[in-house]
Amino acid sequence: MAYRSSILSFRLAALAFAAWAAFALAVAATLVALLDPSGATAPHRFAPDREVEVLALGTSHATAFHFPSLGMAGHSLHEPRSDLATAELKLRAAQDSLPGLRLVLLAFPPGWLEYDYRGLGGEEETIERWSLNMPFAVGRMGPKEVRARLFGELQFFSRASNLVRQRSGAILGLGAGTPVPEERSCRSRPELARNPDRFGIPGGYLQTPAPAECLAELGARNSAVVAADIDQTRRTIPGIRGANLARIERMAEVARGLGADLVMVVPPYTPHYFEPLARHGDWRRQAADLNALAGRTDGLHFLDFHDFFPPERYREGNRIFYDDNHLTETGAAEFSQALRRRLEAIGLAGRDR
Amino acid sequence: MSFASAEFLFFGPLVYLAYLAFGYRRPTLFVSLASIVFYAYHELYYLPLLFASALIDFVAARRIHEAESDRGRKGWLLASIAVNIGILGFFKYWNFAAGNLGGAVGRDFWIHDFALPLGLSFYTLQTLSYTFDVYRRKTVPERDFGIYFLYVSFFPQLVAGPIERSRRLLPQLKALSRPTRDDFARGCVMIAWGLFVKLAVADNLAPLSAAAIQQPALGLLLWPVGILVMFQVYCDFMAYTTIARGLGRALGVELSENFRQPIFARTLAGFWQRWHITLTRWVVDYVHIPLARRFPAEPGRSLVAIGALCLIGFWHGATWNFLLFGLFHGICLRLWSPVGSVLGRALPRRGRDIGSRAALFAVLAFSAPMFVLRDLPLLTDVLAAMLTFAADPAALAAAQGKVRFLFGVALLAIVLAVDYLRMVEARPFRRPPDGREAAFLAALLTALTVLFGNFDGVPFVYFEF
Repeated sequence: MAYRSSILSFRLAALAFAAWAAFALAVAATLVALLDPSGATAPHRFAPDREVEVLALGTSHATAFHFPSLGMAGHSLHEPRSDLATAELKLRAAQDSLPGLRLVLLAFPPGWLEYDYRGLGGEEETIERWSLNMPFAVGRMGPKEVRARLFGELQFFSRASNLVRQRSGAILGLGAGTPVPEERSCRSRPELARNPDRFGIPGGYLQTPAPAECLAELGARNSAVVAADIDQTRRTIPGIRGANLARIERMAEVARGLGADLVMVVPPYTPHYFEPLARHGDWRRQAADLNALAGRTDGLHFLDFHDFFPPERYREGNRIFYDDNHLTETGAAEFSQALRRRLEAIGLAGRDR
Repeated sequence: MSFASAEFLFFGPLVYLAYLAFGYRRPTLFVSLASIVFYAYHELYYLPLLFASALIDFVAARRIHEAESDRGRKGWLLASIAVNIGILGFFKYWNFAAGNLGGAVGRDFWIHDFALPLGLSFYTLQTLSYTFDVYRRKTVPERDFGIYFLYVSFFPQLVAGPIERSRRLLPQLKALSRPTRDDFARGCVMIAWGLFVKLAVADNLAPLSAAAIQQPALGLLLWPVGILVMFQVYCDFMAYTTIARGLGRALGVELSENFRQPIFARTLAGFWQRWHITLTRWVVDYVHIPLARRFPAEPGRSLVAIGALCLIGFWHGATWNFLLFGLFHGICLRLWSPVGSVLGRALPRRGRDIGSRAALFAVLAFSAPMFVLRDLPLLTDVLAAMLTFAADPAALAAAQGKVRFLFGVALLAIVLAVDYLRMVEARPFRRPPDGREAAFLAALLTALTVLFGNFDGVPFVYFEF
């Protein structure tokens, strides 16, 4: 009974917290040491397994860059998050791991100059994930990045838990899951399983092209969702267009520092997706701004392929578009061959460069 | 900040140690400041709103108490209701109403796109209950705004409840002092249990169940998926409440119980008496009972009961799916007794019990998509698929996240076993743990959490309400 009535002392509480924290860390450290003594599975570290010549950034439309067809070793960092602010963060974060970089390709959808995840929420997660890749130089990091970096180091627990999960999955014979080719309808659903990575493209390519008759409906729906995001960004981040133009200039500077060119590429879309967004985002003016910026910035280029595939190519028996705004691997390979020719024409690709 | 975040791992112990070192000398001021930091860390801009909400009800309650006429009392009560519901309506429901009205008449009524202030739905109900209780002369108004502000902003329960009543919480906050070892031990075990249930159970179930509930192709399999989604939401919210209660306990404050083993309820009415108890009681005390007294005969009585469940559903969010969730539960609740008595006549007693529990799980499974799917066409597809006889397990068999899911299901058995033992008041649960037992339990739960937890930062479900 004496125990129950006694007042808690500062010292006892401090000891209890210290013991608790030490115990939790010891359990995690023991797991990591036992299951991954070489540290090969440290998460959230950008460490490509080969020298990367081309880095793809931007939205999920960056899967249009099919690296084998471009004839270069590439890596795509289009996920997670896909706005310009995040693309800049990723480029800054990855730069020290890209000694042989020649090109940075930026997939540029219509209206993207007025699109920003900070207006839509979820900033911290991305900053935390990517700032972990940065050298811990406070001078190069904003306050949120410093904070995220500090707390990001606590991913230690996440690593321990992931190792247990991976080992258990191996013992139980349960892999990461393989996607089942779906019977596509006009109403797309989130997939239960993630596709395997393909030559540096996380998540590879979605497998089944949408039926041609669905492209118009999908385009109307998906462009409306993006248009709403653009509206929200305009309301919540005034001056976003100018800020993003300045951001592209900074990215071109970072790329130049690595000896690479930054190429903004509008990949192929169906008109059902492109046209509503082009109207909504005043694309003609945005494209003019981007052209002007490319004209006056060293090492920056702007290429527009939005109408690369004429509608008769996919009006019947579509094999090119997964949906209204993403290419299948077939479509990406064909487009990337054309992109390669264009890049060679302006001296940015090919053996002679 | 979230209780399951890295920030809180620093914030919680630091605040607690500072409280023991010097904060206990001015407990109201210290815990209020800690609550302000806790809230402002996530939402600095909405801090004035929290102050304003507290101040309005503090003043209104005093005016109600001092008013000499009924008219004056009623006027201040209506003013308080108007301001509180106005704030809630503006932030939470305006865009829903404007979007639907605008769509119907072809005009744009949009006026803002602010995020929902964190905890608004919870602290608005808490401040309103205080004003109602003063109006009903069930409590006297607090004289000290500092104490009252702490009642509104007490950080363990500020963001996602439990929704406390002033008669229960205010006296405890006034008596804040140095906690006992017993408070600390019990609080730590509750916090460790909450973190285990959140990270090792709810967050392991979440990825697969959230993806699976969106797959109409699963057909009949959506029924067990619905039950799993319901378990996941239960574990998520129960974990939050347990951590909140543990934090309160460690400071010597006993917060209300929000869940009392709802999974073991026999009827739908029993389920609602055990699920999110503080919200249900709020709606029953301040909406259902007053209206039921006014409309004691059918059909008014049934409409009031259904309306109360609709209100609970709509409180969760300004979307049609939550309204549908409340409506479905309300209708099922009203039909439960008459249908049950007809069907029950044909069954033996044991069969009635099993049938009733099966019916409860069927209602919960069918309403689970209504709780989580805000996309109405998708919700319609999923509900329609549940009513077919088709089932395609291929998609589920190929899904990723199976290992986490298996961890979650296995550890869910521990949660249910503990729930059951608490319900039957098994011997280990009859008394709180002593120091050694608490240390052992905290260590065991921490080890299990580190081993099996999902640290990908899945947010608490009720944070968005």
